[in-house]
Amino acid sequence: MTGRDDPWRPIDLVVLSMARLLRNGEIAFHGVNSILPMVAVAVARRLHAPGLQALNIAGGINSEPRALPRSTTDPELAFGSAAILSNEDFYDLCMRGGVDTVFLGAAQVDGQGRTNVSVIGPPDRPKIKLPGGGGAAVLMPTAGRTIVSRAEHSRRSFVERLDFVTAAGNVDRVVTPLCVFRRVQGRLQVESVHPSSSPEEVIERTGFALAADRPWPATPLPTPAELRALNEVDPDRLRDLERR
Amino acid sequence: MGIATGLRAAAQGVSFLPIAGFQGSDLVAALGLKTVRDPYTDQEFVAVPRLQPDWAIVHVPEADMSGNARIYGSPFWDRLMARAARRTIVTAERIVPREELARQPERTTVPEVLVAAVVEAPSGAWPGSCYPLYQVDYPAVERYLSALDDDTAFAAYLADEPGLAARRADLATTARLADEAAASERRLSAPPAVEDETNQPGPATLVRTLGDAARG
Repeated sequence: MTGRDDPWRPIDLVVLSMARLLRNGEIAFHGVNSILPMVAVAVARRLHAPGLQALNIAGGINSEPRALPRSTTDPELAFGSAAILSNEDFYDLCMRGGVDTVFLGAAQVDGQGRTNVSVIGPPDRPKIKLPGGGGAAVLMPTAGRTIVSRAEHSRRSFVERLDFVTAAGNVDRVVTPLCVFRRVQGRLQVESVHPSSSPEEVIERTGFALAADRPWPATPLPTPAELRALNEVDPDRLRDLERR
Repeated sequence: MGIATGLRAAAQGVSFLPIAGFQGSDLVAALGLKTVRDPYTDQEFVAVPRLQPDWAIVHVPEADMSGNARIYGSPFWDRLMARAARRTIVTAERIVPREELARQPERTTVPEVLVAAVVEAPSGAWPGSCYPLYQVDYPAVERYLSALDDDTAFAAYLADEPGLAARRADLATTARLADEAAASERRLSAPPAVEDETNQPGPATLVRTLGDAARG
């Protein structure tokens, strides 16, 4: 495990792993309650993807916020935009196939990369009522690909069986503080294990079965340039606030 | 997104709209959503039923007395809600002269024809933001969340509301004017005739009725 004085923390590698997945020139979107994707987009634009077409739920298009806000619906995320993409316009764009990458969160993820953001416990007598999909059921099947992230990785969230399937579809990667999953032939497989974790820990803390037919590579360490960009765009470490 | 599509059905005057997505989601069964088949291509879509609010309340930075309202930055869902609801109440940080909006009518987000009432409500979005006038008051949001189960703390939270002082001043002014009017035995002009729920003219409330143009 890593501590406070280490040059990077596991959550930093969640953000950087997502940033690395973004391609220059593609159209990427993040919605509400999405601090990690917001920071990842800002890092990618600063490094390898300056031509990213970055959209957000605050209506921003390639915006230049003066500082990243705590809420990813904050109008600051549209500051510097030369146009406002209204929420209807964004959903329409995605539903007609015009968005390459959508970032989504999840309370639970299963081995197929499906997500639950609706209820914990039996749906008719829920133990916890979650805020709901916020469009995930529409975005996940219609986006070119979906990158799911969680700031926590345990058997209560990475489950064999979801309490409720909120969204299913084009999940490409699932990024956690332990590893990066990639969906191959409909199943999540470990693509890389963060250097702060281990294959044993990933297996121990994952509730669904993982193919281990060959060794899992380590996620590349954060580079100095990545860490610099990360700390420049998020100097107050908003990324530590993401719900676990 | 199902909610937005239901609102769009209401705005368009149809009883449902097809929506892309939802494949593999338990929401379809849980919400009792049905599907429709495209008569041209045979493709199947989830059909979202119309969702028509009786009222939408939309807070904006600027509106005129007729209800023309401007939103700066993203309209989020406000533009759609104003079109989906049977009637809309606009609450505004400040009331501006009509001529000010008429200089750039394309900047008006909610046109007067959709609006039943206008309320002047400074800091009406607090502790949320009203772009570009003020940002989210995050410490106040935290105070609100921690005060929910504590009446004293909640009263303290409410007392911090930035518009409170202004409204108290308004109330005092209204009371003084009423006293003066009574003293001079002049009859106060009756508040404008308005229908049903909008008939609550307060000190800082400017009401304009939609009258017979109510939709839906």
